[in-house]
Amino acid sequence: MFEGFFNVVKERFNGAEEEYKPPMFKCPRCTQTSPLSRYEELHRVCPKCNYHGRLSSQERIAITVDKDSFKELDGGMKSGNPLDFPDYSEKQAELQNKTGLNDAVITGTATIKGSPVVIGIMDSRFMMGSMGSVVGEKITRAFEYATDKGLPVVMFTASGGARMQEGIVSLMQMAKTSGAVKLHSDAGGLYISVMTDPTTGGVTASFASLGDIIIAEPKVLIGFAGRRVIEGTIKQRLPEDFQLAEFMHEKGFVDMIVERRKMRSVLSHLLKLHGFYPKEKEA
Amino acid sequence: MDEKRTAWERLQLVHTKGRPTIKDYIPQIFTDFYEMHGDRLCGDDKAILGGIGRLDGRPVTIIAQVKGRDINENKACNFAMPHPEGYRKALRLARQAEKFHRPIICFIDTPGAFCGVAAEERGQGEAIAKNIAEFMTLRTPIISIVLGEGGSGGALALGVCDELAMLENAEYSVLSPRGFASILWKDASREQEASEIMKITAEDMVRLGVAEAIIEEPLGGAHNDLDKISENIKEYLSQKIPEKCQKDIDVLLKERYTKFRKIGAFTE
Amino acid sequence: MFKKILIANRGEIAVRIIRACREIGIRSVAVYSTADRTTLHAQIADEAVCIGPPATKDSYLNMNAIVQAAINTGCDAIHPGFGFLSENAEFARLCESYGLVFIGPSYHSIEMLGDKAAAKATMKAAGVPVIPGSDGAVSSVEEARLIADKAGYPVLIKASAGGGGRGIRRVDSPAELEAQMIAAQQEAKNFFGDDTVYVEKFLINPHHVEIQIIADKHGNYIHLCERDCSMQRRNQKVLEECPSPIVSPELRAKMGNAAITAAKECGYYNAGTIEFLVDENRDFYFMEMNTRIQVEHPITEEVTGFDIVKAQIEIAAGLPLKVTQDDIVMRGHAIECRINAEDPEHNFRPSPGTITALYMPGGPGIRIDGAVYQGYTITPYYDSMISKLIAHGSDRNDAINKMRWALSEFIVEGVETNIDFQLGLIRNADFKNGNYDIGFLGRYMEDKKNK
Repeated sequence: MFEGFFNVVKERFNGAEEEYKPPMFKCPRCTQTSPLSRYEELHRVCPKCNYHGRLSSQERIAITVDKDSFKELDGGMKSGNPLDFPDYSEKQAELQNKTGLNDAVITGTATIKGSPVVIGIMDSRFMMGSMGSVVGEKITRAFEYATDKGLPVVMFTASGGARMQEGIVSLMQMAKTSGAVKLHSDAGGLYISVMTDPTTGGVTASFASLGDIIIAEPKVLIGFAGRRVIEGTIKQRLPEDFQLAEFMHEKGFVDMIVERRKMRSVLSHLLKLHGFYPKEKEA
Repeated sequence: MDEKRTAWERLQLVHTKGRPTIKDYIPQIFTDFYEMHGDRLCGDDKAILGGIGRLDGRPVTIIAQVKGRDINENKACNFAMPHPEGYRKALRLARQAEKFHRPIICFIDTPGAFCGVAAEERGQGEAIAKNIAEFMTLRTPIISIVLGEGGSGGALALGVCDELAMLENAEYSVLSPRGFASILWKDASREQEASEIMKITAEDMVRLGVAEAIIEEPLGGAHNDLDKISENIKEYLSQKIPEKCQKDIDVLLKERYTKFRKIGAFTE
Repeated sequence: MFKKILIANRGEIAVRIIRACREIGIRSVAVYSTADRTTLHAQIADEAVCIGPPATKDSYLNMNAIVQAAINTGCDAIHPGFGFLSENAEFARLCESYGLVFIGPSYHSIEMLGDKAAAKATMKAAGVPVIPGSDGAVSSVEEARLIADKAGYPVLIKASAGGGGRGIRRVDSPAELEAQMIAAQQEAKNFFGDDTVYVEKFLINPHHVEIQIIADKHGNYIHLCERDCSMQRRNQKVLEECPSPIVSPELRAKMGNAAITAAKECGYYNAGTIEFLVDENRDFYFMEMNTRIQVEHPITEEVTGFDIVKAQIEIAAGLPLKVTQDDIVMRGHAIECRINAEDPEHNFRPSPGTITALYMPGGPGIRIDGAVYQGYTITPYYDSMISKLIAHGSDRNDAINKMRWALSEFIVEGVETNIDFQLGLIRNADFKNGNYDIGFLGRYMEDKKNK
C-alpha cells in the first residue's frame, strides 16, 4: 500500500526556484508602464489610460465572433495594378508575406453569441488599411451577400484613407461600397459600423459613416482630413482630443463609445434588438 | 481638339485666370434660373451653388461648386472647397429634384472638401458619405460634368451619376499631384512627375471607365471662348438629358449602380 | 479557575482549545453536528454533545442548543474559537445571562467593534490613523460621492456588518459609484442581514499587517507584535508570517501603541487583533478589529513564546496577565501555511473525501495544528482547512527552508490539497525577497494561468 509513497518528497523539495518578473508594456499615449500580460489580457487596452491599441484582423475576429463560426469570403482576392504604378505589385507581395494578409480587409460570415452576421474587419497592418480595388470589391460583395441573404452587417473600420497607388480607381471604391450599403439599407438591412483606430479619409467619407448604428472604441482617431493638413490650413495647433472618438461623439457623429471588452456583448444585444436571434431560438 | 497635351499642361490650363466658372456658364446654358440657399439645418455654404432652371425649356436642378473669378470672389466661396452644409444643401436640392421629377445636373470644380476644424466638427466625412449613398438611388437622372478640378471625395459627393463628362482639360483625382508627391515621395516639388503617373486626365478617365464623355474645349482652353465652350456643354446636355429621361428609371438605376460596381482591378 | 469548558467550535481550533484546557487541568466538552461525529475534536474531548444536523445554522450557530449543552454538562465557561459565534454579541450576552463565562471580550466590545463603520469612527476619534473615507456609515449615494471625491478614487464600498471578504465592492470612477453601492448593499443584506455600508479609499497594493493584543480584566494591556497576512486570495489568507518583512522596530512600536490605544478606547479585554493596511510609504491605517482568537495565532505564539489560548482562558477566569510589555521579546521568525482540502487546478474548489493515507512532518521548529487523521472523511459542509503547518526558524531564511522540507514531507492521499501550491509560493523569488503585497497572489495566479 505504501509502495513509492515517499517518492514525492524529493520531487517537491528539489523543485526549481521560480523567478517571477512579468514583462512590461509601455503605453504610447500615457507613457506609463503596466504588466504586459495585463495589456494582452485586456486585448491591447492600456490599463492606465484606456488607450485602445490596434488589433490585427485575426485577433479581432477571435474576440468578437463565436469560436469557429467565422467563414471567410473571397479570401484569395489580391489587387491588380490599374495605373501600372511602379513598385506597387512588389510592395503588395512583400506585405502579403509579412502579414499573411492578401489585402487590408477580411470579410466573411460568422455568429455573435449565436446571431448570424456578415462581418468585415479592416487591418491597418496592410498599407495602413488603405482602400483600393480589393477592399472596395470585398466590402461591396459582403454587403451584396448580406442583402441577398437578409443578414446584418458588422464592419470594423481602420484606414488611413484611399490607396494612392490605385489613383482614381481607389476613389471610385468609395462610390461602389456606398452604393452596396445603400441597397442593403433600402432592403431593410441592419448595418453596424464600428470605428477603430484610425478611421480616416475616404473610408470615413464612405461606408464607415453610413452605419445605422455607429460605434467607436474609446480614444480612437476618427476624422476626414488629416490632422497635419488641418493644422496647415488653419495655421494653429489643434487640441489633444481633436478627432478622437469622444470628440466625434460629442459633435453628434458617433452613437456610442464601447470598450473593447464589452464590444461582443453590445453587438450581440443590438443584433437581438433588431430581431437577429440564434437559429435554434426564433424570436 | 488641341493636340496631345501632358497632364501637367492641362493642369496649368485648368488653373488659368479667366477660366469660366459656373457663374459664367449658367446664363449661357440655362434660362429661368433661380438660386436656392441653405441646408435647412444650420447654414448656407457659398462654395456650393444650387438652384432650378430650364434646359431647352425642361425644368432641371443644377448643383455646382463655385470657383471665384478674382481673389474676393474666391474668398467668398472658400475657393470652391465646401463644408458639410454645402453637401447637405446639395442633397436637399437633389431630393427635391427627385420629388418633382427633374433631372439633376452637377458641375464639379473643386480642389476638394474643406479641411478645417469646423468642417470636422460638423461631420465632413459623414456629409460626403451620405451624398454618395443617396445619389446612388435617386429616382431621377443625374449627369455630372467636371469643369476643371475634380478633387477627390469632395468632388465625388457630386459625382455619383448616370454619366460623367469631363471638359477636355479637366482632371479628376484621388488627391492633388502635390499632395501625392509629398506623401509618397516626401517631396512636393515632384508634383509634375506625380501628375503624369497618377492618370488624372479626361482621356484617362474614359479609358478607366470613370467618365463616359469628353467635352471639347476651344483652342487654347475654355477661357478663350466662353460662347463656344458653353455651346459645347449645352449640346452635350441637350442630347444626354432627354436620352436619360426616356429610360425606365429602374433600368437607369441598375446601370448607375453598375457604372461604379464594375471599377476595380483584382485577381481571385 | 474553571472546572469545565464547552468549546463552541470544530476542527483544528477546537483541538487547540482542548489541548490548552488539558494543560491547565480543565475538562473539555466538545459539540458536534451529526456530520461531525467522527471528527478529531469530538473524539478526543472529555465529553461530547451532538447539537444538531450538518447545516451550520442548525448546529454550530445554534445558540440555544450550545448553551443548553453547556448547562447540561455543567460547564462554567464557553470558548467560541473563531468564526461561528465568536463575534456574535447576542451569544456572548446569552452566555452571561445563563451564568456561563464567555471566553473573549465583553459583549459590549463585540457589539461596538462588530459595526465596522462605527469602529472606524471610534478609532479616528481616539487618534488612531484610519483609512480616508466616511466617518461611519453612508446614508445616500450623494454622501458616498462626496466622500469618494475627497478621499480620491479608487474607493471601496464595504458592508458595516461584514467580514470574510464579503460585501465589498471596488469603485474606480464616479460613474460606477451608484451601481456598485447598490450591489454592495444587496450582498450585505444577503450575507449579514444588514445593508449598511461605508466608503473607504482603496489603497493600491498595500500590505496587510495586524497586531495581536491581549488584555486582562484588570486593565493591563500588552501587544504581541505583528503578523504579515498580505498573501491573500480573494480576501482569504493563504500564508502568514511573523514578524512582517516590511516592519521596522520603529514601525512596530508605533503600530503596537496604536493598537493598544485602540483596545483601551473600547475597554477591551482578552485576545484581539487590530488589522492595519500599510502603504508604500510605510504609513499605516486602521482597517478593522477582530474580537476573537485568529487562525494564524500560532506564529505569534512561536515567536513570542506566549500561549495565547491558555491566556484567554486564564483572563476569562479573572487572572491577571503574567507578563509585561517588556517581557515580550521576539525570537526568530515563523511562517504558517494553511493546508486546505481543495484543488488549486480547478479554481480551488473544495475537495471533500476520505483521507486514505496521511504522513505529517516533524522535526525542529515544526508545529502542526491539525484536525485530521488517516481514515477520516472530510465532509462538504464546512470550510476546507484541514491543518496549519507552522515553521519556526532562527531567521526568515531559516523559517523558509524549514517550511520547504516540511511541506515536501506532508503527504495526503484521498483528497486534493493545496500543498504543492504552497510549495510554489515558498519557492517563489519575490516571496523570498519579502517582495509581496496584497495584490501579489492575484498577479501570481494570473501569470501562472497565462503560461
